[in-house]
Amino acid sequence: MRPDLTRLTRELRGETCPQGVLDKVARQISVDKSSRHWSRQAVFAVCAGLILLGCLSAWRWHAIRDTRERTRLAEFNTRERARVANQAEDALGLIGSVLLDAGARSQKIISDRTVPPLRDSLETAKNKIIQYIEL
Amino acid sequence: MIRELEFKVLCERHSDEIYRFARSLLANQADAEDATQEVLLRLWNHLPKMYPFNLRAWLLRTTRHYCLDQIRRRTHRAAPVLTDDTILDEQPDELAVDPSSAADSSFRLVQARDMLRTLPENLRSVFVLYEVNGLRYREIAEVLGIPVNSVKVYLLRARERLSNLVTQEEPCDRT
Repeated sequence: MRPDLTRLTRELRGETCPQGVLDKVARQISVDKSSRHWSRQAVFAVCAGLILLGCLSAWRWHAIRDTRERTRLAEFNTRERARVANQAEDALGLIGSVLLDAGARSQKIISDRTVPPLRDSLETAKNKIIQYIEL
Repeated sequence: MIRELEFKVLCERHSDEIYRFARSLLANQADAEDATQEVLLRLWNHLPKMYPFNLRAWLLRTTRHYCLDQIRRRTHRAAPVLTDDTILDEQPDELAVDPSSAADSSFRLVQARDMLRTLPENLRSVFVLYEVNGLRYREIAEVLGIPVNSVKVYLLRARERLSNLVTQEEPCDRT
């Protein structure tokens, strides 16, 4: 390379980065670090808040679900009791009617079965009496 | 803590070459300082997942992308580019350094920068990376994303053009 060109490059090689630039970078980094620290804390706080909120809403949802379940169970019990009472009433009615019917039927059967032998025995007795009188 | 120490060491080792590269690509010192700052901040953000063996190439590639992006944005906005001359004109006299002591070296530096600025971006990048920052052909190829042979050709062309410029300047200096 030519000597004058060498001198030119030597001039350019002598340039150094001003200290002010490095100071500015250091300042910027410290600001960035502190803001990052702050933002990390904020993120942590937000996360903690969200977790707390999630727990609260889960707990509340659970409580509401329990209440609803209890109400539903109570309603079901009431309905069930009413249904059982109705069914018992129906069953008792049926039994009563069956008994009445059976009573009516048994009366007829008794009269059918006992009246002819009684009549026969009365006829026999009358005939015997007549025979006795005639004799 | 280890990250801070590592970053400090990397800053000390690479900040100068980042700044020099940015200075060669951008028109003025303030922009070059901004670029250096931005690249170092990107280094800080990417440091935990960085592969240490191609760090230098990454830094210089990032610097180049940032600088080219800035130039592109400025072209889109069509804002006036502030060169060092315009900035120096705006500075008040009280802030000026003693002219007699700094004049000679700063004049040569300004002259060198002006010469560099006449080169196209690819030739300028190759020249600065090779001659000023001392990268190898392969490293330059990695930074610029071009073949090694192209790096050699660009370097040759950059040297030729600068030599021509220096020869043109010398008679003027002597007169």
